[in-house]
Amino acid sequence: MAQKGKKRLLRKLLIFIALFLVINEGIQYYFFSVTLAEDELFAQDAAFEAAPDTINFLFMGHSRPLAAVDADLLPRCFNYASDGEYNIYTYYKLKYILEETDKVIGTIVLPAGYGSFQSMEDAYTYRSYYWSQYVDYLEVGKLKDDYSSHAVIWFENAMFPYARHFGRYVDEEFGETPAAPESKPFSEMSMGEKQENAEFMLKKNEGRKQVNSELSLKYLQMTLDLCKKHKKAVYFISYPVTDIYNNAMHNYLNESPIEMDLPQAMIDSADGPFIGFEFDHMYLQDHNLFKDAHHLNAQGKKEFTGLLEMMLVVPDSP
Amino acid sequence: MLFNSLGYLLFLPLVTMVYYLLGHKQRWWWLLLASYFFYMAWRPEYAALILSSTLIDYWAALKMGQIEEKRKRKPWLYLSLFVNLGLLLSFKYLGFFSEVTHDLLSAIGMDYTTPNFDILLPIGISFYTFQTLSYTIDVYRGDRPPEKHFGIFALYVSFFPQLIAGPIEKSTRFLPQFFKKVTFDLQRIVDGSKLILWGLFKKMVIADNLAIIADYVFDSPDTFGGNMLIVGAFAFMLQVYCDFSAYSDIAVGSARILGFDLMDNFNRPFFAGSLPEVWRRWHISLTDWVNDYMYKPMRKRFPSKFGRYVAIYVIFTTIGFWHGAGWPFILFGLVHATYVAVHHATKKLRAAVSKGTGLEKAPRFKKIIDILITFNLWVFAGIFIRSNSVSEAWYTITHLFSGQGLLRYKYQMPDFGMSEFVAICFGLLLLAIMEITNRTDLRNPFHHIKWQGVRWMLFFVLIFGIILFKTRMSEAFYYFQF
Repeated sequence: MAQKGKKRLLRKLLIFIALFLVINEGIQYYFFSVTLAEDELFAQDAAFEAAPDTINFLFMGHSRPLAAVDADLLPRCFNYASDGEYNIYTYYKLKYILEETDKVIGTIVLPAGYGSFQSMEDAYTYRSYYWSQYVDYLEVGKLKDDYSSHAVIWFENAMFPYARHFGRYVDEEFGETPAAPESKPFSEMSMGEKQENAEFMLKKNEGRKQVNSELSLKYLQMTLDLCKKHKKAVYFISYPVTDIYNNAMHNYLNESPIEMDLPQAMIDSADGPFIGFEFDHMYLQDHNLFKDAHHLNAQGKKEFTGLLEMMLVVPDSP
Repeated sequence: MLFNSLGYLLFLPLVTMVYYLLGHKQRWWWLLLASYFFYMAWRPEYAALILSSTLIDYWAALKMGQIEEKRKRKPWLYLSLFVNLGLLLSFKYLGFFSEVTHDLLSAIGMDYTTPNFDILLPIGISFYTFQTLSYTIDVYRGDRPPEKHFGIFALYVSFFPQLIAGPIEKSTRFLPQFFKKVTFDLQRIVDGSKLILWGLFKKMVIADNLAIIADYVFDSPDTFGGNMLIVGAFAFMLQVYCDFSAYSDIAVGSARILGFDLMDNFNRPFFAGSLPEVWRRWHISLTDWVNDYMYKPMRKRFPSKFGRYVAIYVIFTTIGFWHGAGWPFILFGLVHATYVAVHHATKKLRAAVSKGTGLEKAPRFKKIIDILITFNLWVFAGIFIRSNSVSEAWYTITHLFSGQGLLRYKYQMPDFGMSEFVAICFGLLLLAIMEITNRTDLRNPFHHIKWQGVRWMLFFVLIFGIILFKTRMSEAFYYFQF
């Protein structure tokens, strides 16, 4: 009788596990095919695949290059930058492009300036449903000397890629989070609102105070080494921001100083120029060109791309 | 090693598997090894503290066992108290006493710089110190003979499921369990796992999301309006309940898998109709400990009415101070002492009010009123324990009803969005339903659900709720800091 009971319990357990796996698969299917059906990251991957095989300038990095460069206006250029893309992500994506695809890349354009060299505390989990296809979390763990927690991240991404990101979906679909940026155009905001907007842009990434910028710089160095290995030139560009943002950043750094300069040795080791717009007066006070304190709007993007076209020297052959 | 980590989800099955493969007589060393590994995963060197307490108490108890006359056992009890409380004092309270000494000397005009003790608090020290003390006190009293098996005694002190945050088990109840032969029972493992699942849900979905609000509010109360301070105070108390009761559930569940029966640490405290009742339902193992080893002996010595109030203040100040080295903790204890003292002093008055207002004839309504008042008083006292300083606690209390909107400026809580809000509402609703419907067996939170389909659905809701709504950063259990 006891044996019968055990068998029944065991059978129940197996059915439970099977059901769990089925539901998990179902959620994953729903997540990728419905929730992420129009996800801009996957759309960007598809666009890259469809792009010509030869790319003269490949723009990479975070939201600032994403907002500033209209690659359609530049011949044989592709803007592969994405929101919240830090050095760790850039390195792995670039590694994939250079080593796994047939694309012939001429020059890699990396972002410089504050926000480009720090890694957010949660950078490893930010949109990991997408980044896990590139990032070797186990290698990150080794480099960060924290193998076990990165093994957990790796496991979570493999088993439950939708974990936590469903919450993000709830935010975007149904809710207005307190963190949602102001919907009013930046130029129409009052001075107080502009300052608030700039402070928010800095505060929302408060995690940067606890950054492992050493790790981030290590990945930047790895990216430069990777480019050197594949004989690719690297340009650094610091993208335009407003004076409001620079002032807010100045105050913010006084409160919580962090290392923000790109080491000269790295600039020197890159086979290309450093082009700085972060303190360019042409942009600092022209708020009509910005959608928020440090991202260009459509008009700004168009004008900046025009300027960039004149400045970038397109090599004869990649 | 955190209960809410993947590491523990691998550690527990491995320990369980080897445990049941070994024979009964070999199991103690395996559990002892696992327990020390569990603790040393945090800071290996601090395991020496547990070992010191274990060695001294083992030896002191053996010596006490050789002495017939209770009075003559006292020096050995004092040795145990001296060593254990000395370690606790050195690692937990030295910095606080140094600060107080400096303040007192400054107040009388003496400019003396006291040493700055920047010592990392060994996690669980308050818990295992009280547990091991219960053993020496029991032996001293003659309630149990000294344990001769050093390994078993060491395991009693360091048993991993309850080592870090209790329940604080008494030797008379818990030590004999290590000698009981445990056979493999799949049903028990399933029951233990269900309790762990329920604990993980409370911790990862409710407590961790509530912690975001509480942390924002109490880290800088002066930047929030009164309404948000009220929300923060409620969020904190609910967070602590879900966090600590979750830890206890996981501890009880883990122990059950291994065939041990840990005591209940919570019994739906927010359904209590008075503050003394809350303390009989909240952190029951600590309340039992202070009741048995402090309150009862004090009442025996001072049986008068005045003695009772003195004992109440001593006990609750101790409970407050046990939680942490700082004035806010002491104030927390004093506030609770006052609650309980007033409760006893106004017994007749309250009965008269109840009779006069007719509430006596509507016991259910009266109970609801009592529960609401008690809950609010409990939340109010929580402000002291969560505030970083007395001045911040004072600021919070004096601005609770200052009005103003929830947030003073936009984006004040960037990590708190709709998903966190949904997680809290969904989690608290489920918790309320479970606590209202299950009044009989808290160790089996799902036993009252008769239909297997509904039970399974609930399990899947809990599992996928955890996966979907857990916070980005895995939070340590709140009581680890005590």
